[in-house]
Amino acid sequence: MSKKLTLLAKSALAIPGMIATAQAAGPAGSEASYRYTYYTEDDSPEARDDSGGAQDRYKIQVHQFHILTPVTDKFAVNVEASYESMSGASPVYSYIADGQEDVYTHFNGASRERRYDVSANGRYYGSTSDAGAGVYASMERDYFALNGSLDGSIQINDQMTTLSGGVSAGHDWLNPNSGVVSDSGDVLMVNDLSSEELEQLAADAPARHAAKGKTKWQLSVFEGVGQIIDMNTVVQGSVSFTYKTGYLSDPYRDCVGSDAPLADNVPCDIRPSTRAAGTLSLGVRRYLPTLNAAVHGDYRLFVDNWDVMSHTLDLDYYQNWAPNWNFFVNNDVNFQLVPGVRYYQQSQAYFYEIPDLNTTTGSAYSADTTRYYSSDPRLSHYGAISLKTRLKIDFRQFSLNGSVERYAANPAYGFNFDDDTPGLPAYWRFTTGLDFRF
Amino acid sequence: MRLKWLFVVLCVVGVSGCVTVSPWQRGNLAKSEMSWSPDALESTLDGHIYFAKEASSGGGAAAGGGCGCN
Repeated sequence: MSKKLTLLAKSALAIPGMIATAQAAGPAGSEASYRYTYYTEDDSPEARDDSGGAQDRYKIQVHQFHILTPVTDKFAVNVEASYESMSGASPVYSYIADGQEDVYTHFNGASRERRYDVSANGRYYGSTSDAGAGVYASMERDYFALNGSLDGSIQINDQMTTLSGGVSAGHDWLNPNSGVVSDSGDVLMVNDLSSEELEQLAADAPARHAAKGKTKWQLSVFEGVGQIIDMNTVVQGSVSFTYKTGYLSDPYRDCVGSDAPLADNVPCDIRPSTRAAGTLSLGVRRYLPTLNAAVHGDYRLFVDNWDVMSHTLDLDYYQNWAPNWNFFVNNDVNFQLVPGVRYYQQSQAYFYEIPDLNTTTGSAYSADTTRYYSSDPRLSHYGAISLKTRLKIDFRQFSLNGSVERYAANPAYGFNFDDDTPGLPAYWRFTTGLDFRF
Repeated sequence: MRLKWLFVVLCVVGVSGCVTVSPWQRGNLAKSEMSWSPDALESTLDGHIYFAKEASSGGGAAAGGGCGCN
């Protein structure tokens, strides 16, 4: 089959309603992709870092691989894998220091860590439906996660409406880095410590000790409906519910290190052992024929029983440009520029609190958190703004991709003008990569 | 409960307000930039980073696992 005929067939098969005629809806060709991402967080805020100076925060390099290939005309396999290497300091506790009014954050440096993950999914395509099954595994020295999922969709109403649904279940195993260095110079994991070393760890780093041998599992379900509105517009709505149980605290949150009288009363990080969360997602895609462009709008409402409620709004504009010059036409050269903005806002978890070490009697934190407590900035009331621009250049069966994102989180962005949260991140993300269709 | 009703109303309004689009009129809807996630790897990494940096995650599809959370 000629290249142009293959592209035409591929395009036709992607059109809802053309599937029954063609007797197959799976991908007509294979695709392989690679992405390299460099992620770098801004230094810790010097004025609020209790070490007295700015520290390098997380820097991560990510390599991603993806291959999608049809096995038969009704069955396709999709595999994704990634490798990350990361290093840098992260916030481990926040507090209002004795004799101070401002919030200070303590950052711990991290040794170089690596993470690998792989997911594989098989999908069967019927004339007006499809069904898929997938497995996912993520491996770090201190964390192993395994997940399985089933999902499917069916088209009804003259294939104007798509109903979809799915379920996934996962189990995670924790084995935190103990910080104890062996005689050979290796940093030992908690599960590798002797009983004497464990006793010492319980005194020095109780949160890491508490996570020894802990696990958690989660179950997630979603239902969605997609609807074609007209020749250029499609909308989608979905709801999901996720239940997690097990060790949901962060083993790397340390206890407050201070000589203040009540500092010893502040726990490290104790979160409920269950979490139930629901989401409502709405999306719209609108093609603008006169501009050869498309607009994407997505909204997500998240609520959970930790009292976290968040709103996420994503807007993207896809501008295509295909120069009508011989070289570009002959080589299928197309350009696509995609500016986008993402806004995120969340309320705080009911057990989030910054302990005030100026307190001299009782506890340094309020009575509402006597059972559960965390000063993790990710559980605070804040907002985040992200600006992103992507460029894709098609050349024959190749696509070259590049993108840059600037993300900044701040209480004021979430309309919280009362609190100070110096541990919230701001980062740059640069990505480049190549797609190959064959 | 109110959210559930809002969702149902939105679905009914959305379905009743549309016209039948024949298969041969769906060329624009089939363009890659009209898909829900045009770049699979970008979507995966977006989900992982926002999951690690924010208190909420999921939505749209069944959730995955993994940490790399600092």
